[in-house]
Amino acid sequence: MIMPSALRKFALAAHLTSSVGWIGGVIAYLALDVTVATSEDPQTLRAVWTAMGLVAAWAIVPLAFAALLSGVVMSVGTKWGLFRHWWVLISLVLTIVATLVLVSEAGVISRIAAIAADPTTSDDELRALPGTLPHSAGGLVVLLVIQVLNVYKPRGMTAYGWRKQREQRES
Amino acid sequence: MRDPIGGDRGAERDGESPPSTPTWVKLFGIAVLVLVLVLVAMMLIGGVRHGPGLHDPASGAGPGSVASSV
Repeated sequence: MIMPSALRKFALAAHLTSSVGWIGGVIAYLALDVTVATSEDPQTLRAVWTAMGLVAAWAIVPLAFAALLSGVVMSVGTKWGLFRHWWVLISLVLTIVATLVLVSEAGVISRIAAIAADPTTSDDELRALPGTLPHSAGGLVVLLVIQVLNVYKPRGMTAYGWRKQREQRES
Repeated sequence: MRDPIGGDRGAERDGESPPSTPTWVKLFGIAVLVLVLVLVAMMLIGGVRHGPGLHDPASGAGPGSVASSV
């Protein structure tokens, strides 16, 4: 089902906003993650962990789901389709994997933020809280790969897409 | 946005058999496979732990676990 032009533009705007916003959210989170990895100051660690919990729960996770949903709508509602072109298919798989890892990590981040905010947590325990740097850096790389695929749209049709194209030509 | 159909026209359109997997997809797959193998090798050889709960202080699995404080 091909969307009308006005609806397609709205969906495209929503997809661009949420996708780029997701990347921006991860970059902001990464700055906080680096601070956790390098700082020894308990007050800074408490503040940064609280900020990381809020950024993950209220910015990154909602933007990830919005990007995934709007991406599926954009694919299904245009001639690109969801499984017809390799760049769309790979983008979809990477986005799903990134979202699943994010949801798994968000729960952990929320629990660590709660521990950091607890006044009974000692300074040594605060310093011992494990950061999430490998996941946030890896996540950013995955998001940038998806962005490059979406901008350059390298050519290449899947066997399914090729069959669908033939069916449409013959009908 | 590039023409969604026109971008793949040419050999794929006129062929009687499905198009072969593009080179960039094969290279991408190899790169992902190598990354996964490196990660697995690091886990097996270097003792690097990975997976859900690694950073979770409640699981006691992380390097800086503070499970006692939970």
